[in-house]
Amino acid sequence: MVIEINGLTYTYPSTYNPALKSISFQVQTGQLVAVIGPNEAGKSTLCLALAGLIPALFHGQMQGTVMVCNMDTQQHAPGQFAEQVGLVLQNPVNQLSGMRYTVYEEVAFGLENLGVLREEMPHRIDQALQQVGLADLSERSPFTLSSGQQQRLALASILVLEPNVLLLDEPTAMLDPQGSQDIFEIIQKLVRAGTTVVIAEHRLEWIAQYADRVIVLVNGEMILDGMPGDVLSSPVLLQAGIGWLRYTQAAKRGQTRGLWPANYPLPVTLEQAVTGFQQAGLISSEQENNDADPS
Amino acid sequence: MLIRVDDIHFAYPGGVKALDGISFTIQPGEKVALVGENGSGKTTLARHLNGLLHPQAGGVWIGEWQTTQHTPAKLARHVAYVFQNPDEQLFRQRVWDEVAFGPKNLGYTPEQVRIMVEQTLDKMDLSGLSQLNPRDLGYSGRKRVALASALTMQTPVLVFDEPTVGLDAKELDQLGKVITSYHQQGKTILIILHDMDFLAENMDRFILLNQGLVALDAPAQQFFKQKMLLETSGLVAPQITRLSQSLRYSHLAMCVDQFLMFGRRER
Repeated sequence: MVIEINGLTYTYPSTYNPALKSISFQVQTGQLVAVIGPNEAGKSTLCLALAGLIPALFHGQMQGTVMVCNMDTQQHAPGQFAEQVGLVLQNPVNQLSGMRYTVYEEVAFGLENLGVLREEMPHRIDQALQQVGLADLSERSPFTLSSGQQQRLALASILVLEPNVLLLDEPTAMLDPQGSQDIFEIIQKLVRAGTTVVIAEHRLEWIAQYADRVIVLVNGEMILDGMPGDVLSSPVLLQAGIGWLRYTQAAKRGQTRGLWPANYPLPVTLEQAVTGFQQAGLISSEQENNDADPS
Repeated sequence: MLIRVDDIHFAYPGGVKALDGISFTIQPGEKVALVGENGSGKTTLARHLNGLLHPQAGGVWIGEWQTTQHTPAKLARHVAYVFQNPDEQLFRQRVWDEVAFGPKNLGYTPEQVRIMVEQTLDKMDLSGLSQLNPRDLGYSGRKRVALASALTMQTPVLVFDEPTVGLDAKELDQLGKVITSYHQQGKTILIILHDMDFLAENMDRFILLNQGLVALDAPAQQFFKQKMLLETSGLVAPQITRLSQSLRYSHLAMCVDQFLMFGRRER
């Protein structure tokens, strides 16, 4: 097990309510685990705990144990985690060093701190910039980039470190759909190559397609943990304020009108939705050539 | 209040061309989505609507006012602009003061300000937080304060730059309702956003920017039929639209209600 959390309860300094309550789960090497939940559910805190930054950097009250790559977060310094665990923060501005003049130097920063050989650096930096589509902007100042570009840069500066465990806190919030798709493809490639990925993410459609497993946090508690198909169509998600995919919503409401087969599970992907609605015999109520629109 | 954008051009210092001849008209009370890839010029265009930026050629008119002839402070009576990043916008010590700042500066009486602020805080579910420092709130809380401080000015035109980033499903629902209620009051709403599911459910007209040009300007139904163009522009159609396309619907559905309404069981 590359990640083992046992009974983790954590309270930030000068607050009363724990941000995480009795969290326990394990993750196998090479799994892609999505963490979902409403805002303030504890997703970012969980990422910080897995990166070894809680409790070392944030202090506060921590109970339970968090083991990542066989290191106990209460025994090892953040610097030791940095060699194996990469964390991409939600807001890229918080991630960028702020002391590098170019995109290229920013990506080099982590490698320098880990003492990577100089000869090894250019190749790794070029590759990371290529991966996130920033190769053309390598000489720009990080602070002249758009927020979407800064988000890509934050990711590149972690990818370049080639971590065994990659923690991503909403890495595509500021990206356009194509940009997000690119990032998700990078993540998939890494997972296939054996990287373990834990990602806090709002885009349920992507999770349904690619995640091996989904963990649901609400108010610091883990309320669900399972396969995407089961978790994403669970009624618990509605009560938790996370909501359902439109596919799932359409099928649920279709059920009452006989438009969704009774023996089919609710869909969480386009393909599942199409199959189910076709099975139920759903067709357009008008002929296709009736459409006056020339396009 | 009519918005008229007439062949505007804009390049940033250093020569990055952001807008390369954009024209459109928005009628009072329209709900318009401005979409396109990162770097296509959406935010630059939006910042022309309240005079934060002036076109280097062409012109922007808000009603009778050309934006170059009036200060942003004056244009703020007509157009409220919500920044993408709430931290660029928030600067007061209390949520209440932040939300009151706009109407105070527009010259409303203290009593009017109080009513406006209370109504807006209530709408945005911020009443319980009114005495807190916006900086003590989480990202979504700060985002809602930024939205509230724009909404409270009761301007006829509202421009939102990425209003949903960082909001969860419940908060999105609430934002959808707020947009509907402002639309019912006859306000013009322009939103920059990548969340096509939200846009399809809430907006009527879509303007697609590509490399500083308008690549498509159409009502939602027609817009999402242009599969090829959307793909080359890096956009993904809403879930429910793709579902109705896959089932060969003659009318594309924009929301679950329409999806169920536009289909029937084969006899």
